[in-house]
Amino acid sequence: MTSSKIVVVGSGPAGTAASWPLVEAGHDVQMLDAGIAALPSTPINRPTLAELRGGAPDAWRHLLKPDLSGLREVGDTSPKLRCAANAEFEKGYQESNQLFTSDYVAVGALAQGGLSNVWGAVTPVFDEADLTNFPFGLDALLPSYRAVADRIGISCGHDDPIVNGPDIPTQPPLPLAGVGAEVFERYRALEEGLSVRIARSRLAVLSEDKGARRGCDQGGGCLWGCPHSAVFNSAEEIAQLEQYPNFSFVSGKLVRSLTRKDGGGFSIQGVDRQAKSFFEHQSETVILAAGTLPSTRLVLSLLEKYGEPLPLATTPGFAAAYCLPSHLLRPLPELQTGVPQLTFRLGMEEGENAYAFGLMFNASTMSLPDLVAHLPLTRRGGTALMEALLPSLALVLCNLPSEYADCQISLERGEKRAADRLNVSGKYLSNFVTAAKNVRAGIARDFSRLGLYSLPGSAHLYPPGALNHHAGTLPMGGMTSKFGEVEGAPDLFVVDGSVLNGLPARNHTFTVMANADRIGRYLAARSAH
Amino acid sequence: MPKLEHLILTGATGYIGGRLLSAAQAKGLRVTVLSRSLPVENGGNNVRWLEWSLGEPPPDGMFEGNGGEAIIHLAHRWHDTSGTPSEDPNIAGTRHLVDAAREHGVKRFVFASSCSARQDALNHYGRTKWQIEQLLEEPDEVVARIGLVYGGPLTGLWGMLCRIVRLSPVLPMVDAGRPNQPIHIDDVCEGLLKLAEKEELDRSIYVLADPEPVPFGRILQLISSKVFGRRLFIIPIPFGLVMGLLDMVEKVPGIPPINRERLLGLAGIRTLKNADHLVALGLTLRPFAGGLAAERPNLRRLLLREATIVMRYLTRMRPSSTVLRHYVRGVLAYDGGQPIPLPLPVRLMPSLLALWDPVAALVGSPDSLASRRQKRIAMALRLSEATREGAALMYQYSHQSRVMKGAKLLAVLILETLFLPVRVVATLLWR
Repeated sequence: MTSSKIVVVGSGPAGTAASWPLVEAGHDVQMLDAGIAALPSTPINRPTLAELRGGAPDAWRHLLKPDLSGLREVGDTSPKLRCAANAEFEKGYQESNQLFTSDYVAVGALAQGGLSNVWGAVTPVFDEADLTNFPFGLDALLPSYRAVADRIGISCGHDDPIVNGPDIPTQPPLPLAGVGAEVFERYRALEEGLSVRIARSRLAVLSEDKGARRGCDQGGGCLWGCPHSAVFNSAEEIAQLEQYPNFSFVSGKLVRSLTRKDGGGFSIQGVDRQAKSFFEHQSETVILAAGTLPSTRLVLSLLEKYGEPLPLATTPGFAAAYCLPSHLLRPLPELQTGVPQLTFRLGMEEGENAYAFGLMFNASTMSLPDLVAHLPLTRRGGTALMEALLPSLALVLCNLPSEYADCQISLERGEKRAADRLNVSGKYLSNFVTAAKNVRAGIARDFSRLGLYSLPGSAHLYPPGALNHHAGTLPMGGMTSKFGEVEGAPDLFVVDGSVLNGLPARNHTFTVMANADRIGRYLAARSAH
Repeated sequence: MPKLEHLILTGATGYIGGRLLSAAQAKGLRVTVLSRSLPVENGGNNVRWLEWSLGEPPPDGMFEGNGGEAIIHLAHRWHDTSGTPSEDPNIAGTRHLVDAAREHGVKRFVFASSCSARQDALNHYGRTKWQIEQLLEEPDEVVARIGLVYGGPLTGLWGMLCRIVRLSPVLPMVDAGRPNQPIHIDDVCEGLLKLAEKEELDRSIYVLADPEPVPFGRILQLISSKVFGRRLFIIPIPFGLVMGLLDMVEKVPGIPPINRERLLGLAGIRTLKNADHLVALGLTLRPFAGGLAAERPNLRRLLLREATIVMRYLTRMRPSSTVLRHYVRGVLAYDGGQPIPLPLPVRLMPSLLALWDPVAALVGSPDSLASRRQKRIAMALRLSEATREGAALMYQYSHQSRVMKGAKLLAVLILETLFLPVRVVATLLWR
C-alpha cells in the first residue's frame, strides 16, 4: 500500500492542467491513470492525405491502422474514434466505470490522455455571459486561460471576440483552404446584414513549432491522428511532468472507490488492470480528473448519495452539409487542415445569452465512406456523387446550449460486494426540435447569402451524449466549493467537467483546463502555508 | 493465495465438465475428478479419477491439503422432482462437499449455478440451484451463474438445440421471445478457471453469460444460419397455451405426467446485468455471432469468394490478394465473422450487387440480413478507400473535364433513380 500527499486521478487535459501548478510549486503529486498505455503515436513521416489517397505505398497502414481497426463500425459518434483510435481505445470504458446508460451515449477512453487523443481541439474562451451561473467571474479565470494557452499552444485569428470569446495571446491562425477559405473571404466582404458571425477557429493546434512539437504543415490527415503532435494531447504532457522529481505517474490503475479515513485523508481502492489484482492507495488530498461521469460516481459513492437524481448538462447538437457550387468539380487542395476551418455563432431568440455555436470543416478532409453512408443511393452511385460534390462541401457541426436537454444521473448501490453503479439517462426537451430547426433555418438563410447552400436531407441530429460534452453534475458553489472541493469531504477536489455550472453551446474543454489550473494554483498556495 | 496447482472437479463427464477438464490439463493443473463411473484407463496425464456419487460424503484422500487447491463443482443429478427439497441429493451432496472443503482448507470453492437460479424460479432446477447458492457463505466460496452454453461437442443442451434446428425449416416454438444470455463453452471454461485461480474476488456471484440477451427463437435461427447455413422460420406459440394443452393432455387416462422442467426453465428466465462481472474477472467473451460462425467449416473460403464479389462491385477491378486478406480479417475481427449470402446473379456479375445494396433507412434491426449486408458493404467501402483504385474513385486532386464529369454524373443519377424501387423492395424483403 502506498501513501501520497496529493493524488490526481486521470491523465486527461483536466488532470494535467491541475497538476502543473502543483508540480511547479514543488508539491509531491502522484497521478493515477486507468490507461495501461498511450495510444500508439502517429508515425512522424506519414505522407500527407493527398499522397495517401494518391497511392502512397501501404497507405492502408495509416488509414486503417496495422490491425485494420479502421474497418470497424463505431456508430453514431465522432469518426475520429474509428480513424485515429484503435478498437481497444474505448473498450470497457462504461463497464470499468460502472456506467449504465439509457438513451445516452457515454464515450470515454481508458487510455493515457483520455479523450484528448481524439478531440476536435476547439478552444474558445467563455465570456462573462457564459460564466453567469459560476461563483466567480472572468477575471478569476482569465489568468488561467492565458497560462494554459501559453503552455499548450493555441492558434487563432483574433477576428471576432463574440465568436471565440475574450482574446488571449496565441500563435498565428492556421491557413484556410478550399471551401473554408472561400467562405471566410465572402463573409469578410459582406459582414453587414448577417445574424451569423464567423471567425477563424481558435484551436489547440500549433501553427508554429513549440518545443518538441512541430507546427501544423496542413497535411490534412487530422482525422487519422497528427504526425507532428501539433494537436494538443495531454498524454504527451506526462513525460514532461515526469521530468520533475516530485511527480510520479502510475499507469493501469483503475480507481473504483474512495473512502475517507478517520483523522483525514483518503483510501483509494481500485483494480490494477495489468496485474489483474486489487490495489489500495492512501493520500492526504485527492484530485479527481477522471471525466465527468466517472468522477461524479466516485464522489456520490463516497457521500453515499443513493437514488437521488442529479442534473447532467449536455449540449445537444446536429451536423449538416453545405455546398458551395462555385467549387464543384474543382481539384481538392493538396494542402489543407482537417480541423475546423471556421467557427460561427448564431444568437437564438430564446434568450439574450442563448446562442448556437458551430464548427465548419472542409468535407474533403473527412472519410468519404462515412459521408456516403447516409445517402439513399447505392454505394457505387453514392461514391460517384460524393466524389463530385466533395470539393464544394462544408460539414457543419452545431451545438445548442444545455438548456435544451434534460439528462440525469443517479447512483445505485451495488449488490452484495459489487461496486456502486451510476445510471445515466437523457432526453431532449420538447422545444429542442423547434429550436434546432430555427437555428438551421437561420444558418441556411445567412449561408445562402455567402453562396453556401444546405444539402437537402443532410441534417443529422445526434443522440444525447454523442457529442461528448457533458458536465455540471457537481457544480461549484453547490455540491462543491468554488474551488471544486467536495462539500462534506474536505481535501477531495474535482477539477474536470463535473464542476462546471452548466454548459453554453461553446466547446468547454479549454474552460475545464483553465478551471483546473485555477484550482491547482489555489491548492498550491494553500498547501504552502 | 498460493498458486493453484490442484483442481478438484465434479461433473467432468458432462458437456461443460469434459471441456473444462481438457482446459485444466492444458494449463498444467493436476486434476482430481470425482465421478460416478471410472473410465477404463484411470489416471495418467496428471488426472486421477475417484469414485463418488452426489449425495455421498467425499472420498478419502481427495484433498492434498497444501492450500493450493480449488474445487469446481459442476455435477448435477437430474432426477425425480416430486420429492421435498430437503431430500434433493444435489443440495445434500453439495453440502457434504462444502463442509469437507472448509475442513480441509480448500482455497476456493466454485459452484456452477445457472442464470435461472432464483428462489421463486418456475422450475425445480432453478430453485434447487438457488438453494445450493445459499449454502456458500464464506468469502472464498463463489457462485458462477452460467448462461446458455453453445459450441464444442454436440451434447447437452447445445447438442439438443443443434438437432432441433435441423428437424425442419419451420419450427413451432414456445416462448420464442424469452431472452437468454448465451456464452461459448470455451469462455465458460476460461471463466470457471479464472474464478478458481483469481487471488481476490470482489463479489460472491459472477454471471458468466453475454450481457446482451438474445430471444430464444432468435438463438435457434442464428444457430441454424451460422452453423448450418440454413434459414429457420419460427412460429411462436404462447407459453400459456402449451401449459394449458399439457394440462388437458395429462387428464386423459393412461397418459403419464409430462416433465415440464425444461419448459418452465425457459419461461422463468430473466436477464441479468453482468457486464461489470466480466470486467472484474478479466473475461472477454466471443461475440455470439462470431462464436457461432467459428463453429462452421469452410469459413475462409466463403469469405474470400465474397470479398472478390463485393470489392469488384465497388471498384470494378479485381482486388489484389492483400485486399482480399484484409477483407477476410476485417470480417473476422470486426463484423461478426461470417459470410453474407449473395444471390446467384450477383455471384455471376458483381455489378448487380447494386440492386441488392440496401437502402440504409429501411434496414430494420441490426440482425436482419439487410442490415448485415449494409454493414458489410460499408466495411468494404472503407477498405476500398485505403486502396489506390478505390481512392481514385473518391478523391480528385487533379483537373477533370467538366463535360465528361457532368455526363457521368447524369448517368449515375438516372441509374440510381431506376434502381431505387428495386432496392427498396429488396431491402424490405430481407429486413
